[in-house]
Amino acid sequence: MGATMFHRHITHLIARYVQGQLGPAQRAQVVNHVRACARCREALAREERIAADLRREMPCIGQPHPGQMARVWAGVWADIQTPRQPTGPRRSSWVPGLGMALAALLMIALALPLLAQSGMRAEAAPFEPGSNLVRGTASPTPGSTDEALASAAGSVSARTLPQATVALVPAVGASPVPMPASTLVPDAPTDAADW
Amino acid sequence: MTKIEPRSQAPAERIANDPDLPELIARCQAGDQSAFATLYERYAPALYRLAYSVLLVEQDAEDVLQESLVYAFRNLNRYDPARGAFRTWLYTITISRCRNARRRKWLPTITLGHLLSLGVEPPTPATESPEVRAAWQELRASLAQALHTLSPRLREAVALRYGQGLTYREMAEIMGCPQKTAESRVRLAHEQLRKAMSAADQAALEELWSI
Repeated sequence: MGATMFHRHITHLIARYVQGQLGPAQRAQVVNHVRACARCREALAREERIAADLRREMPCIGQPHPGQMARVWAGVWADIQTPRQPTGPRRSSWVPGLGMALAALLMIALALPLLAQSGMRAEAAPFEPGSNLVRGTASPTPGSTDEALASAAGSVSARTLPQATVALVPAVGASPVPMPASTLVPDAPTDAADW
Repeated sequence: MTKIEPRSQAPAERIANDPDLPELIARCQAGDQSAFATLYERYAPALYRLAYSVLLVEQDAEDVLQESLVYAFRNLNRYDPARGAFRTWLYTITISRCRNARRRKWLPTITLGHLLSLGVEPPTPATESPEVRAAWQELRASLAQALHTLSPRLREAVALRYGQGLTYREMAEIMGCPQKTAESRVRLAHEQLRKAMSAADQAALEELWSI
């Protein structure tokens, strides 16, 4: 039992012990252990010395000198006597400008791809009333879609449509921007817009 | 001109006991300059030490002190005694301004000599022997150097805990984090400081403690 206790070092508790962050049971565990374990006792002593040094030295770091305090007081008093906007000058002068610039950049970043896409679509697939009719009836029931496809395609039956066309309908619905068949399905027939 | 509070008279307990604070605040709100001056004398040195311990640059600490006190003096009506001590409110403002200062400016590397000559006054009594004074000086230099290796958040924790003698609860309120986080930051800082101090410094420390 004693040997087990000795080997189970309490180094992980030492910092918390010194900082006063342990409960009564764990504090007792540390106290009892260091009585028997020289290694942990040494570690505890080292930790306590550093804590003592910090307590002693930290309050001495940054001691102001009289000239400094007088200088800052002059600034403080001059400042509080001057009526001013609730927000500081530095913040009010550049933050809104930065915000607007970021918003403009974001809008450009979003708009550029859309513009580029619409340009590509315009070149690849000019406006066709028939193709719009097919897309407009894509979401209702399969029966009505079939009817629309059949009426748009004339003699071509929906059941005999190429596989690529069947895949096109959900793809069109999923995209925020209506995409022409030629840009979505590279293998689709080039005359798909005529349906 | 402002009277500077001697270091020995500025423990946290003295600052915490402010029986005349409500009256001082009321006088400030009425525009009484002497009341502002009294508050300044009472709190500015501790706030400066806090800002300096976190930023480690004299000019930045002065700027932060001025910004913090101007904000506090202009917004005295926002201080709610039910929510905490006045000094805790001031420390919260100061820490927030320190963080802003860090964001605004990439902190320059400063030499240890600069750090020591600016902010650290030798606290060793004149009665100590030259050897002991030299040893403490060495230790102080080592600690100051080690402080510089801490991250800003850990330095805040050390400055509040050891520099200002605050409780973990107060620290958590000021740093805007749970109490457990404040505790672990102090612990981590401790660990890093111990590692940052070289073996030679450790030996000097041992020697010093044996004197």
